[in-house]
Amino acid sequence: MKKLVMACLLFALLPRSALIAQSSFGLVQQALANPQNEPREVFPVPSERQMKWQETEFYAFFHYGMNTYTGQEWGNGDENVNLFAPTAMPDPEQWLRLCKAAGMRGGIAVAKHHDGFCLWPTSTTDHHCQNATNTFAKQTNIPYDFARAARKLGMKYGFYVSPWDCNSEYYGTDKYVTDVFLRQCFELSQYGTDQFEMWLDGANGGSGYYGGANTTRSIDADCYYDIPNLRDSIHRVCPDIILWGLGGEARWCGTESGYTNETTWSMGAGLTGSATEWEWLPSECDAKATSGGWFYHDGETTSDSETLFKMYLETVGRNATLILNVPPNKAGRLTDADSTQLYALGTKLRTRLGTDLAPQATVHASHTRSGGAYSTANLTDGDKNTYWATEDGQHTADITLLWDEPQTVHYVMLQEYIRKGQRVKGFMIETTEDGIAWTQRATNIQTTTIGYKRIIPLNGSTSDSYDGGFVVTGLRVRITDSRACPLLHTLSVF
Amino acid sequence: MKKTFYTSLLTLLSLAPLQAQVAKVTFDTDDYSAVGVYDGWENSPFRKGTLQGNVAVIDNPHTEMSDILGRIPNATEKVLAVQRSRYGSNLFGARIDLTTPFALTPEIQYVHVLVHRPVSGRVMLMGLGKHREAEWATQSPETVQFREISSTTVAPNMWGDAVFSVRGVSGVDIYSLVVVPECESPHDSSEDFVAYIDQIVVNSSSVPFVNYNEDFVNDVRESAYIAVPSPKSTLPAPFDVNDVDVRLYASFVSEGGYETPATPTISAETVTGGVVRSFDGTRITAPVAVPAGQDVTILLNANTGYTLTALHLSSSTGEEIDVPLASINLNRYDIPAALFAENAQVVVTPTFNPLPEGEQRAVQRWYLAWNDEFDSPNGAYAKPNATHWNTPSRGSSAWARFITDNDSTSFVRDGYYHARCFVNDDRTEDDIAMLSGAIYSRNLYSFQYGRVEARLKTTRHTGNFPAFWMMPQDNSAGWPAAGEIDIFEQVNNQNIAYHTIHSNWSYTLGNKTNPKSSGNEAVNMDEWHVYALEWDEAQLRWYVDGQQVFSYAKKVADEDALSKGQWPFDKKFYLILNQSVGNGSWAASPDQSFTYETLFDYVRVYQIKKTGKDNSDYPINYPKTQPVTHATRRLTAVCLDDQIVNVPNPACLYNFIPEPVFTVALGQLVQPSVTFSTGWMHSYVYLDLDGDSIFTPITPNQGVQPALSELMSYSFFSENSYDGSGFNSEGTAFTARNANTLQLPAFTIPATMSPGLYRIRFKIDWDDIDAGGSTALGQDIITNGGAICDVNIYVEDPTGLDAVNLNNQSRNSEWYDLQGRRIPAPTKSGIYIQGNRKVILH
Repeated sequence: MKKLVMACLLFALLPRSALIAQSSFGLVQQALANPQNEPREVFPVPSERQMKWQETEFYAFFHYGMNTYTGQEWGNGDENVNLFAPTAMPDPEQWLRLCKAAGMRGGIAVAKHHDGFCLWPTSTTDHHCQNATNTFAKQTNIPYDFARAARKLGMKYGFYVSPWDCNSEYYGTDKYVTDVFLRQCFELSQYGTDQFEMWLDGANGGSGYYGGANTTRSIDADCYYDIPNLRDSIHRVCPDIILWGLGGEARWCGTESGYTNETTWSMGAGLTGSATEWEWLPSECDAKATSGGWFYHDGETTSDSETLFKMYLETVGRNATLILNVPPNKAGRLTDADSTQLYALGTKLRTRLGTDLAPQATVHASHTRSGGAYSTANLTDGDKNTYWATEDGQHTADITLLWDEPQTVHYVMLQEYIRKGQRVKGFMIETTEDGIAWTQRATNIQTTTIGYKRIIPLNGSTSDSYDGGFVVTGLRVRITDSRACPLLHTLSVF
Repeated sequence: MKKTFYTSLLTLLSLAPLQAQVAKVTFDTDDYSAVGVYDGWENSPFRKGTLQGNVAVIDNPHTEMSDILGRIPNATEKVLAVQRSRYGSNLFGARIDLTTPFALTPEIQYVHVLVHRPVSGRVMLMGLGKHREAEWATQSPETVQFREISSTTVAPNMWGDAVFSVRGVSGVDIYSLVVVPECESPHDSSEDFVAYIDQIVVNSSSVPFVNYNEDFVNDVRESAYIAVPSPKSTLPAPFDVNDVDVRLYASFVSEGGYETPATPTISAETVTGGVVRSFDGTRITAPVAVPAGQDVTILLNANTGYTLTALHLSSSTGEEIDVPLASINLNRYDIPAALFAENAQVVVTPTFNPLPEGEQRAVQRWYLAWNDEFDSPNGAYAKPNATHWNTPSRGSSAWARFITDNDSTSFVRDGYYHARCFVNDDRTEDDIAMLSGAIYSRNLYSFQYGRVEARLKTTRHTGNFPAFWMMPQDNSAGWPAAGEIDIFEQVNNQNIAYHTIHSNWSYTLGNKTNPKSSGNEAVNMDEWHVYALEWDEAQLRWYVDGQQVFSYAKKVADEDALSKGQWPFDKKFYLILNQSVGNGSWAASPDQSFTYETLFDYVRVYQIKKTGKDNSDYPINYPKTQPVTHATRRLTAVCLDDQIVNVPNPACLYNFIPEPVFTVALGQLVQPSVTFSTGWMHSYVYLDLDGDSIFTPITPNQGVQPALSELMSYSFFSENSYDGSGFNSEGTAFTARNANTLQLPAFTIPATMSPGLYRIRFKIDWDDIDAGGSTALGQDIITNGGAICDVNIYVEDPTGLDAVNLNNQSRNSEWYDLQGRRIPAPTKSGIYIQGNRKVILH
């Protein structure tokens, strides 16, 4: 906030009275000192909070609430609070611990779904868990317990709060927005100012209970929730919160199946986005780790870890984030099956993407920018703030890694320095056994965009990516097209 | 900080009613408070202070005439110039702080900005503002409330109007606008340029102020327009027949194969070659040739001074038809191809006769307000015009459940919009059974009242469920209370077209026969048809190929029905075209092996425009029902020479006297005056010289008024920010307290005007020539207790009948009619002359 005020003050505004009568106008020569020959941004660029959010990469989604006990996915809003009857004390620490073991860096817990049932003692409605007769329900406060567990485990955290509320009699009126929805957002923000994302689901309006009206209500989604000012207010309390969905700071990737397109721009909309769009709107994939639905359903199964690893490659490995839903059961815990697969996924991530071979290689680039610290050493130094670059106007380059001893390789991971914009439009990956003959790998994969992170399985398969691998002495990344000089901060080989 | 937020949420209980405001920035006067640069990028050197923006209000450097427009697109004195720096981000632009904030509304408002810069393309606009209520006092007035990209593109190196549609929640005021002068660059600009910005207006019209496609637009909108000079007392002779231009509007379609029509669509055709025009001294005939075998719609427009007296069709195969004037819908006539033998060339000959001056009246005419002909190069795929159409979101209802926007379900080719539905055979990308195409004009185009029509053909098959329909732009009342109008629906393999409305009255309350809310009739679906809806304040009428097939009327006398939502149709609706498939509830479940397709040849919206001397639509900046809020100030009478009109309702800001109470002669010097309860205000008089239903003042210079200014007389105007000095319309300079005068100088009725009925406006205001009333912060016409009074005025040719009136001065007590004939003292209501004064008897 202080920073913002400072920034605004520094715009030199000319009051009308101070304007000197001027008949003509000319360009003023402007120049910025650039002793390090720093590349210029290619717009749009992410905001600081969008960068922090993007770096979370892989995090969990926990759908838990009234629907867990009614078997619904979308409740009607008229459910008796006493239906919420945990058979044990809900344990968000267990949820987050298992997800941390799976390689995730955070989690989002549902605090209120469309049925309007709140999982914390809220002042906005009586329709909340602590008004149930169940002993555990009376003690449940998911935002409190979830935030505390996340801090303890070093995980990022945030909440899902549904704008649509089938329980509230006020839904559809201004009173709902000001007295219920905005106030609930505020109450949730009080459980921690370091939240990283607030999930505002796009579903809104439709049939429901609405305090007994039992009718269908629709709202003007463009205006109703006053998003610009909600965003302003939340950011003043929680400066790092990305308002997903309706909030307009990150986009839905377009599927709920755990994949996005191989070509993914962090601008635009839908699976692929667009290289020419005007605002930074990075992609998030929400996917289910279980067979039943977003909420827990009896008899459901958990996807095996190989399937979950494929999801990871097809989302995080394609310049999107992955929010993987693992639904707590009626005891308020993740199941043993969840536990098995989450641990196995963590093992796969560490085994397959844990040992970077690039730092042992000799790295050479066909083009390297002069005047500052842009050498290929930056690609393997583990520092996200240093990067390799070419000169302005140089939109192609080859980066070659050579090893003294043959290496078995399965994956290449590339990361652009997106603080200056997403640039690369095309690249190829080649390997060599003898240092003379080069063979292109993963030819069935569109090697187009890189963005924040791109992971290419060299055998071209995301479902069976970890086979015998290729034994190579060299690997080459050939950048074939870019919106401006390419900037890469990390090149890893696994 | 937390507390601030908490407080704001807790106390933000109810929103104050919206006060509609109009913002206008010309840079010519004190209509802005500050200018600067702005960058939405948090690391911008312009935010950090490393660089300073270069921005200034300067003399307009581009007042040149446009060859394309035939006029000067922007002749104002001052403009804003800004250096578009390559060091700014893609969100870098000129910031203009408004003197008066304007309120966002959930209804779309349009922001117009004239832009002139060396690059082409669209423009972006950001609105900075905050909530109005005190509870949000700690909020920054620079909170970004919207970012919009213009719906119009602006060509390089000429003035163009960038139009933005903006909306927002009630209660938010916009304090500053940021104009980002280019929105199409590769985002890594390397050179600076200068952008000029001017004439920022917020209004309710999306029509650009400057449109270099005007010629084309006129082809479309003013079809069959016969342009003749406005008639004076006698028509000029010899008349140059080459000045007559006849155009017709038609879509010529050949029936070709289903997939690949043999010939392309030609539309918006201007027929000029071979046109014969003639003028026999009293009437104009203008034959045009109509190509063979095609349906043609012709709009028969002529200047106000003419009326259509005959329409003759003559075919090359010998058929001669005199079209009964009663079959012409206002000025629209449809010529079905079937009327003539195959391959006949048809010559259309409308005849227009001049009207006597006294009979010239405002007339209603159809004009083409909006259309999409779905033209594309033959054989080439294109997406529907993104300034007309969006893809609706996939939804749970039957029609929307498969909507997909891809190149196979929704596209333009061969002059048709193709909407298809077929099985989804790749469910890895999108896990859904079928894919269907749909487009709608929501947020891009909506309209209230008019005639909308589409030429379309669908494919009969089990499960088929296409539609051409409309939904309300403001759907806040929800379905069905907000209303739905189905212009065309068809199901399965039926040869039946359905026409339906849905409302709270018909659907929720079940009044489906009171009146009938749905109609249908047999139509051969294997052929093309034109499905149309005519919609006005009282009735909806459906047409198929020009024949009315169904109607739905407002129950105007049934207050109970109206209160229960019988007529939710007095608001803007948008268009939807879609190919969907049934789910068994009406249309059957789809045949997944079949590709459903509906072709739309065109969609056109005609609306009625009043032309000529219009007595109703002269705008002001406030509601015309606005009461005077000032305790004492009232305008009670307005005068021209010794002709006096009492203001009927001095407690209302706006009054209008429709009777032509004032009579003046061409070239006459007239003395206006007002009776106002107090001094300390200024008076202004306007005359609508060009009859365009708006008063257009042009800023004077030291009291000297530019030609064509419709500000005729004023008691004081500072021309700059008010410091007590200024001029009246005679050029008399005022200083300090002398400025507080209502004394209006005399002015001359221009001798070059056409005689006829005009509108004159008297306005009491403070130092503001805006004919709609000042909206300046703290000095607006309402706060100051000003007033506006419009009067119809008859401008006479002194060489004509009116000389009789002037010669009757000596017979003060005698009564005369408007033709100057002496009559006994009248007993009926009307306008008479007594003692050289117009007298109105009610």
